[in-house]
Amino acid sequence: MILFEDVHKRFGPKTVLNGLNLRVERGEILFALGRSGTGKSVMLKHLVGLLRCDRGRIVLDGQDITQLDEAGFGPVRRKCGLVFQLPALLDSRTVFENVTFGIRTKPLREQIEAARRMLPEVGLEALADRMAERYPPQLSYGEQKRLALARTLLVDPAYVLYDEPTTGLDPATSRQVHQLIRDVSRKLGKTAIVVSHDMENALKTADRIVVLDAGRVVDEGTPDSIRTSATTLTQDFLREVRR
Amino acid sequence: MTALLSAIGQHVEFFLGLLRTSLFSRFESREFTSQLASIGWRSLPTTLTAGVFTGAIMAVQFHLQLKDFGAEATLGGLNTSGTLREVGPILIAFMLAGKVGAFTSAELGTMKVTDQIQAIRCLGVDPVAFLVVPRFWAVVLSSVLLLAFGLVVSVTGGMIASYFVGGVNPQQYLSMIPRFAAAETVALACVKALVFGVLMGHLCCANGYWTEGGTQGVGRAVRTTAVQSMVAIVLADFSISWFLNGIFTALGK
Repeated sequence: MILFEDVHKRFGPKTVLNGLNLRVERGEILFALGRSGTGKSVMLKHLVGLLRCDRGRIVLDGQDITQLDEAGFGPVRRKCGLVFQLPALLDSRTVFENVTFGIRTKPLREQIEAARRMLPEVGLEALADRMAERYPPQLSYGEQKRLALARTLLVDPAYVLYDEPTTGLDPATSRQVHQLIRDVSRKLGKTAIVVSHDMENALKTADRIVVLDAGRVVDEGTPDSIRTSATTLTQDFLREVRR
Repeated sequence: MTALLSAIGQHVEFFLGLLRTSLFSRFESREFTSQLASIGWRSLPTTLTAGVFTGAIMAVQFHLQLKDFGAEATLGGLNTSGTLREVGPILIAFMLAGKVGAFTSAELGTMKVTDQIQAIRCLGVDPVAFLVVPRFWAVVLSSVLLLAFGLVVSVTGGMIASYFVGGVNPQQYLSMIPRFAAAETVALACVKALVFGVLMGHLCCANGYWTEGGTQGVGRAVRTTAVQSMVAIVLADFSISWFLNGIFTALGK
């Protein structure tokens, strides 16, 4: 279980998180929606120690991770895998080296087996036999995103954090990625926190949706309750879906 | 003044961290050898060109001065000494700073702005140990090797130019070298090559690693690396020459 308690974060004069309170239960698919600059990605980066909050508390499975140092975040990062907005793959390394990056200290045979098992899970079965020959720049953007997800999943995190996973993808691929998030979460038993602008796919994929504005949660509920929400910002997102 | 001191402090902190990581973290030998091969191979033509023409230019200039005194016979010694001591290391280092330094800075900077460095960190790998340390040592070692190669080539370039411009016999040219360019000249060149390599390696890695602000940030990092490397090389060149010449004088060399 993840808990954000009254979390504040400022960048210079700009307040990005302003008393964020959020609870994420194990096994659920939570979508965090909001306009740009409302602190959605910042929230995810706090969970893996890429940013530190100014005030408040973050608890992961009963452990307060707010004051951990860089070394202390090692186990946290194995528990929370972050899939970045950009694929963030190493261009000079092969598909195999990229996908097994997080387990590269394990024996080679184990790495190969793990990669062969994981690539089909993210819809990259065609790459499984050529993973030592292909490089990320030779893949489409959608394939790169799937590869980045496979790389994160191979570390076997309990929580998978998706930072705007469909940015730069066409609507069809975007739908596939959302389906993939759902499949991966259900099949592999992962908790998913997805930061997004896409209400349409959130309604189809999420177990629960929270809407963020000015660094705090202004609305939350199941997709059904969100559909009938009276919150202005939620209404704005829903109007976009109806168009 | 405060900003300057703060910047120097940041560089010192980064450099010490880099050395600490080099000593205590797993050395990424594959990343190191791939960088060494890539940087070294890619920079060979540049070094070759810079080396040949540095020696040749020096030979032409020395010949102009020496012929007035009928001392063309000493051209080989004087030219080699001047090239090895000062002009060779600094010119070749400038070329390498522009090529190796800029490339490494741009590569690390791009990795930073495309979240590759953060992704590496999130996968439980220290990006300094994985990316920066191998690049730093690859730049240092390749700079030393390339500078040594460039200096040998510059002596050859000087010899060829002396033959064609001043009609100095290559044998006569080579025979004069030991009389003017003794062991301390070679030692001076080696020390300079090592120090310039460390400076370039540190500056390109630090500026690349600190990149922020998208593609513009990468451009800024490359420019900063080029400017800082050149200033640092000039200052280091002066300090080394002053310090080592003092030592050699005291030793009666």
